[in-house]
Amino acid sequence: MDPVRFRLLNHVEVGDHFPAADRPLHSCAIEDCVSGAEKIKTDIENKAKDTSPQPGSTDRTEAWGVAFGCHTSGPSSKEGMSSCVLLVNDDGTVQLMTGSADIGQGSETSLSQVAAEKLGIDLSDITIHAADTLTTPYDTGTFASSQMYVSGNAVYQAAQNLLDNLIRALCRKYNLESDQITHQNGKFVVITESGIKTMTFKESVGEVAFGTRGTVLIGNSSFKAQDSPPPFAVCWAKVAFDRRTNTVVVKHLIEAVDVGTAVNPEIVIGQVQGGLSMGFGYAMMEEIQIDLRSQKPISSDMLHYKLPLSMDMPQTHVYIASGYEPTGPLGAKSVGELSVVPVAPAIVNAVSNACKQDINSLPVSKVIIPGAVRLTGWHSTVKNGGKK
Amino acid sequence: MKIRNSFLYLRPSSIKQVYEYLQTRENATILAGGTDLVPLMKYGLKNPGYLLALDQIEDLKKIEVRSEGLFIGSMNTLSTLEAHPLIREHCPVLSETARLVASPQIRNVGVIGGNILQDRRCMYFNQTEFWRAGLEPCFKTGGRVCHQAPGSSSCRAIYYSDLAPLLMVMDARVEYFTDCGYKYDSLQKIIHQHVLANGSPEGKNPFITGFVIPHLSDGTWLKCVKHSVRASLDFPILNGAMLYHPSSNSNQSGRVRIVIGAVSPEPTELIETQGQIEEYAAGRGGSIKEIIETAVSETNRKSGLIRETGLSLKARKKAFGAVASLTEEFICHLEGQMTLAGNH
Repeated sequence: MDPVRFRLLNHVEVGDHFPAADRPLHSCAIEDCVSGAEKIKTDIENKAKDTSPQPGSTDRTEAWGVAFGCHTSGPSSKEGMSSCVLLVNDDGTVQLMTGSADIGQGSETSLSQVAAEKLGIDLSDITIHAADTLTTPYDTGTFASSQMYVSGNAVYQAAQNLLDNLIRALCRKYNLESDQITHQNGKFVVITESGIKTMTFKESVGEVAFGTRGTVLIGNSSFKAQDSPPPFAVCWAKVAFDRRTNTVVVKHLIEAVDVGTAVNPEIVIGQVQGGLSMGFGYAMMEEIQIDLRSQKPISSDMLHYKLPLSMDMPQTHVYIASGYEPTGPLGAKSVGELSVVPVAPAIVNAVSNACKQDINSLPVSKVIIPGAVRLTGWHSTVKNGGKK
Repeated sequence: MKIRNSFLYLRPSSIKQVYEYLQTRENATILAGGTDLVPLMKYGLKNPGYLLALDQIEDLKKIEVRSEGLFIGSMNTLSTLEAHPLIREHCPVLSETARLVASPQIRNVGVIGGNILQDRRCMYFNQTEFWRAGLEPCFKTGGRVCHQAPGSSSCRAIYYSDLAPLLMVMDARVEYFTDCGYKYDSLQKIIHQHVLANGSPEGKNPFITGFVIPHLSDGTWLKCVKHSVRASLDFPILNGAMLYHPSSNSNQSGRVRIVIGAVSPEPTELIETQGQIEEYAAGRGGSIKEIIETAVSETNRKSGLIRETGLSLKARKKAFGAVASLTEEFICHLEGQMTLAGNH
């Protein structure tokens, strides 16, 4: 049976429950993941037609392998918690304070984007202060792929709280009822007897911030996750196996992800590429080896613990599916760890398909050597003779 | 990690002064590129009293065409070998092979002399002092045992130079400095002596000042190979070089040389396989299949694989299939060249 169809037949859908989940699934864009990944795969195959081994070649075979994966958005126990303070300056720029630490994945950027989008201001108008225990509010920490869903929801709620406070301040100033001011498409719409007036966030702040009748505008939130919506991924790996040299080269890795709505697609692509690298190393060569004679680990440095470097990586291809998670900030779910999940099984399935043997343990290097034989060209001392 | 023992760092300004220091200073060691020596010093495996840095001696960085061949000073970095116009013109295969060594950062610092005289490696040796504390000293650290093969009477550590097989098939010669001035010897002999000396902490090497790659006659062709898990920086699982040197007498077969490295304490010449290819090329029998089988079995027989990190011995032995592929490619290329020359 076609491996993709088999997996789709068994896949969860919106409304289904995961075995241990008490809430139904709100979003799942697995079909788009499948079609997006398969389109990339077809393009690769079309380009590779000239270089693939001829059918019947006994020494070198190429094969694809596929795997699906999913993860959580924050701790699956729903213990994820975060909080946020948004403090508005008199010029309408905003200080964002969060306990969420950016560990290189770009969460400071994407959390700022959530606030900017919700408030209707430019990203450059946000200044973020993250993970300073003296001045920022509590966050459970940067783990469990939780920054966008958990911390992002805290930022989103703080922004909503700020908008509510701003509307209240405007109502006080103009003696309006709260239903006369709304925030739509990034602007405040004020309905009075004299007509409808729209104001930007900055204009509104200018009306009510500070001064004798003004106020200090603050939004805050304390978010406790009630859900941990799973993001989904589909990964394809293409490998070339050389029977004679017992070597395998991973040529292509494709990963399509359903992360809900990607707040920052470039960051998502970067996260997936990182996950592909981690999954590739995990599948092919990374291992802590213990030597029985010395009773000590022998993978004791970065020469012997074989982490892939950039030139060891196969070609990577990332597709972001169109999805929307209704419980997520701006429709987002998580991405981080998700991207690692399906890589090793996809590679191992491809290797297994190519060498026609089951691979039952990782890394693959226990039985087949990763990496290719590199050769110089033929060099001849005959001029015009034929360096080939 | 810091170097814990103290030493005096000297920067001699001439080849003669280096030699003088080597003779007069107790426990003086040459610091060439340092990519091999410095980690060993950090591990407490090398504790020189004097470090003689060669970086100021311009004579060791010469690259020139001489009547006997291309001369390359021992202090030329691997990056220089990749890029130098004289090497690219007269020995382009060396440029390409240098690019297969380690990583760009290492190649920018590591030099050809150090690459040839690099320490043999073993997972019981290339470890920190703390790591080695629980094991009795091995041959390389002054003991009487090889932890890889406790019954062995000598050290079984592997010699991994990626340049050595190529320089060996080209019959490169080594220039070194002695009491009597410059002397020359075959690279093969120097590597053999180095391998023996490198099996104990007392072993000494000659002070190598350069390498002479003889001019190869017209019609010679050659190729190099490196097989490693990571293309980015790893030591090889197997490396090698193949050379065909046609005979000037059309009635005689040409000469074949195949040297395989990184599978034993020193590079191995596949003499039996060479003979079979020469016979086959001369039309005196044999088949490609037989030659390939000979190449693999000869590599197997002459190899002295030991356990290293990352790969099982079983997987490494299977990698000898690369020798089969190379041999087949070599013969096919040979047949193609002979057809072109109208000799076959």
